[in-house]
Amino acid sequence: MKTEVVVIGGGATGAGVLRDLTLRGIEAILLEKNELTSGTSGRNHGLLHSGARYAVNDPDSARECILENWILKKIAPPCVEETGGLFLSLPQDPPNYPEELLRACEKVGLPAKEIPVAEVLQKEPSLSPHIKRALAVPDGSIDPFRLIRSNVEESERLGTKVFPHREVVAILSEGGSIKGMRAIDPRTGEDFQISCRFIVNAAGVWAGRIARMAGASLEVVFSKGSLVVLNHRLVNSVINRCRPPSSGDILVPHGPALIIGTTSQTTEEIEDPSADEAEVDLLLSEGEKMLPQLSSTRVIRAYAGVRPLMGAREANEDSRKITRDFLLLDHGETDGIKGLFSIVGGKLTTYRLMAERTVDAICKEMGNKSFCLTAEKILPFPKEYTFHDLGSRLDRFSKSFRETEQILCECELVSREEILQEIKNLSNLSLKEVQERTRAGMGPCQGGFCSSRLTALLLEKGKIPPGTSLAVLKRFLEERWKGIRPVLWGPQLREEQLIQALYTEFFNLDHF
Amino acid sequence: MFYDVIVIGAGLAGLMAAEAAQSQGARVLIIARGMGSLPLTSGCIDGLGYFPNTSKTPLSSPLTALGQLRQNDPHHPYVKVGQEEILSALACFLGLSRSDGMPYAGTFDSNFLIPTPLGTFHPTCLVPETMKSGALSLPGRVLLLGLAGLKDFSPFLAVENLNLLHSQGMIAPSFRAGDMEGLDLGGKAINGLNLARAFDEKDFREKFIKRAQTFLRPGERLGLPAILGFHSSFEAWNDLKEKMATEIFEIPMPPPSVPGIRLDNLLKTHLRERGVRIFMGVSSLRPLAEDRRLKGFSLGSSQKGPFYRASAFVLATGKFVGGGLDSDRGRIYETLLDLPVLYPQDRKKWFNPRLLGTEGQPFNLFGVEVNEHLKPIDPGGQAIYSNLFAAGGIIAHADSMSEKSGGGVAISTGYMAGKLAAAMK
Repeated sequence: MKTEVVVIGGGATGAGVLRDLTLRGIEAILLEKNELTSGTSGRNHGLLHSGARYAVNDPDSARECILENWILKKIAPPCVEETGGLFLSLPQDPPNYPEELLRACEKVGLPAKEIPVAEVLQKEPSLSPHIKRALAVPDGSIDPFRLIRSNVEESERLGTKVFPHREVVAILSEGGSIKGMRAIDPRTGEDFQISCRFIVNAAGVWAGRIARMAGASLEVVFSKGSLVVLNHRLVNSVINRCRPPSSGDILVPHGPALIIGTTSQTTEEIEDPSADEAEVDLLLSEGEKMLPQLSSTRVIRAYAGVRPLMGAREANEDSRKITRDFLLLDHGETDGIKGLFSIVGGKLTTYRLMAERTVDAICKEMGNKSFCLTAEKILPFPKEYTFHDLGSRLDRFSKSFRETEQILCECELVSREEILQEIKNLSNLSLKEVQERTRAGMGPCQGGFCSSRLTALLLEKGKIPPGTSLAVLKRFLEERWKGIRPVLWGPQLREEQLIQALYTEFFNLDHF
Repeated sequence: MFYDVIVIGAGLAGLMAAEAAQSQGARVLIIARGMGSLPLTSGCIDGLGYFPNTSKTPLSSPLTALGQLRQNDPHHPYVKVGQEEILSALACFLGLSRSDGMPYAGTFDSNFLIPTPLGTFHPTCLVPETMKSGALSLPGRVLLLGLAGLKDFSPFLAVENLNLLHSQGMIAPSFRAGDMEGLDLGGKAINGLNLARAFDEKDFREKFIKRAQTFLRPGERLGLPAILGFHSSFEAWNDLKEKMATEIFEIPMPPPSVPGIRLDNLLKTHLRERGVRIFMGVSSLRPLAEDRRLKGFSLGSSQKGPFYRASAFVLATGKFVGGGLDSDRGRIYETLLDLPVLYPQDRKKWFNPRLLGTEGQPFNLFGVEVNEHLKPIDPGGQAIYSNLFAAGGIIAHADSMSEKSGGGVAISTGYMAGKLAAAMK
C-alpha cells in the first residue's frame, strides 16, 4: 500500500490530524494498533476546559484552551454540552486564590467572573453550604468517543482510509528520509507493508516507542490519572476547586452520570492502567468536600488513563507541574530523519490546534500552501445523533417504539435494531467496541446483564470468528471487573454479587 | 403473637427451615424483607459441583466427595450438617416436590450436567423432571428451539458452544439450532413469564406442537428455554412429550427464572397450606434479646409496632443479595443482629483480580460462623444466642458460586436449623 502521509494513533490527536490532512486534500491513512480511542483519549475526564485551571501557572496553555473551547463549541455542538463551570473556594483553600485566578484569566482573555454564593447554591443545591466564593467560567463537557469518530467518519467519507488493529512494528527510512513502515494485525499476525513520505507519530503514550523504531529519540513522561463514575448527575455544571491544581479537584457531569477526577502519579503501566482502592478513596473524600452527597451516591466504576507528557523525567518531580502544553517535533531537524513528525502532550481540548500545527509543518515541508479548514468547517454528524442523553432515548422509545423492537440493554435503553444498524459494516468486533458505539453496557450494571445478549447477537450476525464467543464474553467481563472492583461496597457490591453469581453459579463460565 | 419458630428470610434456606419445623409440629412464622431469592435461581438444586473449586472436571458424585470435604474444609456447612442429615433434607425436598405436583429428579450421589443458554454446562444434583432429559450424558441428537423475541436464549450461541464440547468428547449429544418466529401471545410481550403462562393453556400447546413438529427431524429430542408452563409445568411438559412422541427438556434461563418462580410458589403454597404464616416486604425489624436469648422482633420502626415472639429463631437472610450482609467503604456487617462477620479488614482483599477465575471471590465466603448445631458463634466459639440458628448463605465458609453447592447448602442447613429450632418449643 502506498500513500503520502501515515498517521499513527487513533486517539484525538491522530483523528484530528487525519481530518486536517483530508480537508487540505492531502493523501493520508491512519493506523491504530487497537481500536479507536483505546488509549488516553478513551480514558479521560471528558472535560472541555475553559483554561481557567491553567491560567495561573501556564497562561499559554490557558489561552490555547479558551480559543479551542470556542472553536469546538462551534464545530462540534453535538459532542459538547455547554454546562458552564464553577470554581469554588472552601474555607480551607487559599483565600487570595480567587483574585489570582480572576487576574490570570483576564490576562489571557478568558471570561471569568465572580458569582454570589447564594446564587450558586440556588442553581446547584447539592453543593456544600460551606462554599465561601464562586467564580463562573465557560467550562463544558465533551464526549471524546463521538468527537473522534466524527473526525474519522468525515475523513472516511472523503475517501481517506482508517485501519484499526494495525500495529506498527518497523519504520523504514533511507538516506535520512522516511520510506514507509511495516505493520501487523495483532489479532491474526497478518503483515502489511506501507510506503509513505511522511509519518505523524500521534501514538500518545506509545509515541516514544514509535520514535525509537525510526531511530529517533523521544522521552515521554507517564502520569496516571484515575477517575470515578457516579450514578447520578448531582450537578449540572463542571465543578472545580478554587486552589492550585491538586487531586480530586474536578467534577464533570456526563449525561446521567457524574465523573470525579483526577489523581496524578507517575507510572510504568501504560497498556491497561486501572484505578486502585486508595485513589478511589482519595477522590471520594476530596469530592465530598464540595459535594457532601457523594458519600451516599452509588459509584458505578473507576478507571484510569495515562497522560503522555513531555519533559525530562525527574524521578521526584510531581508530574502535575510538567507543562500540559504540547510539543511538535520535526525529527528531520532533531534526529536527521526527514518526514517524521511527533506530536506529544497537550490535552483533549486542544486536539484540533495540535493537529493544525502538525499539518502546517508537513505542508511547509511539502511546499503545500493550503490553509487549515478544521476550525471553520462544522463536523458532520448522522441525523439521529443526540448527546448520549437518556432522556431523549426514552422519548424516542415512548414515541416510536415498534412492537418488534427489542431492548437488549435495559439500563441505557438500547435496542437490538439500533445495535445492528451501528455494527452493520464492521467485523471482528469486541463487546467493548459495541459498548462504545451504542452505549449498550454503559449504564449502572455496566453490561452485567446485557453482555451475554450482545455476545449472542455478534455471533448470530457473524461479527466474531466461530468458536470465540465465550472468550469474547469473558474478555469483556474481565475488563469490566477491573473498573468495578475498586468501587465495590454497599448497593454496588450487592448487585455485583448477583452478576457474579449469574456467570459462575448459573453459567459456570469460571470453569470454561 | 407467640410462635414456636420464627424464620427470617424467605429464600430456599428459610423456606426449608420452616418446612422442617412445621413437620415437627411447630407453629412457624416467616418474616422476609423482600419476597425471597428463589426467582433469581435456575430452579436446579446444586449439591457439590467441583471440589476443590479450582478443579477442572466436575464431580460425578457430591456424596463421595464429602469425606474429602470433611478433611480439607472442616468449617464447611456440609460438614456441620453431616451426611445423614444432608440426605434426609434432600429426601424431604424431593418428597415435597413429588407430592405437590412438580416432581424433581436426582440424588446426592450423582451430578447431572445441564446445558446453559451460553452453551456451557452446569453440574447439578436435583432438577425438575422437565429438565432431566437435557442431561449431557445422554447420547443422541438434540434440536434446541429458540423462541424469537426471548432475548436471553439464543439457540445458535448455545449450539455452537455445545457442539464444540461434543467434538472434544466432553458431552454425549450433538446439537442443532432452530428459531421459531411469530409466536402469538395475544398481544402480550414475548418474555419468559408470559410464555410460561401461555404454555399452561391446552390450545396454545396444540398450536405450538403443530409448528414445533415442522422443525424436528426424526430421532431428535427437543430442548426449549425454561418456559414450559407456569402453574402446571409438569402437565404441560408431559402433554408435549406425549403428543410429540419425543423427549423434551427445558433449559434453565437467567432471571427472572420461571423454574425459580415455580419452586418459590411450590414451597410457599405448601407451607401456607400447613398453617405457616409468611410476611413479606417487612422493611424494618427490631430484635429484643435478654440473657443470651432472643425473645422476638417488633415490626416497623415505631416503638408501638406489633411484636412477635418465639422460642427459637432461624436466621436465613442470605449474603449481600439476600440482604443478610451489607457493607460500606470500610466494613462488612450482618444486618439484623450485628453478629460478628468473618471477613478481611482490607477492602482490597474482598476481591480477587480475576472475576471469573476458578478461585472464585473472597466475598462469597463471608458470613457468620456457626457451631455444630448451626448456632452463630462469637470469635471465642461461644453461641451468641442459645435459641438462634443460621441457615443458607448467611453462613460463612462455603463459596457456593465456585463449587456449585448453593441449593444443597440451603436445603440441608435450612432443614437442620428448622428441626433444631422446633425441638426448643
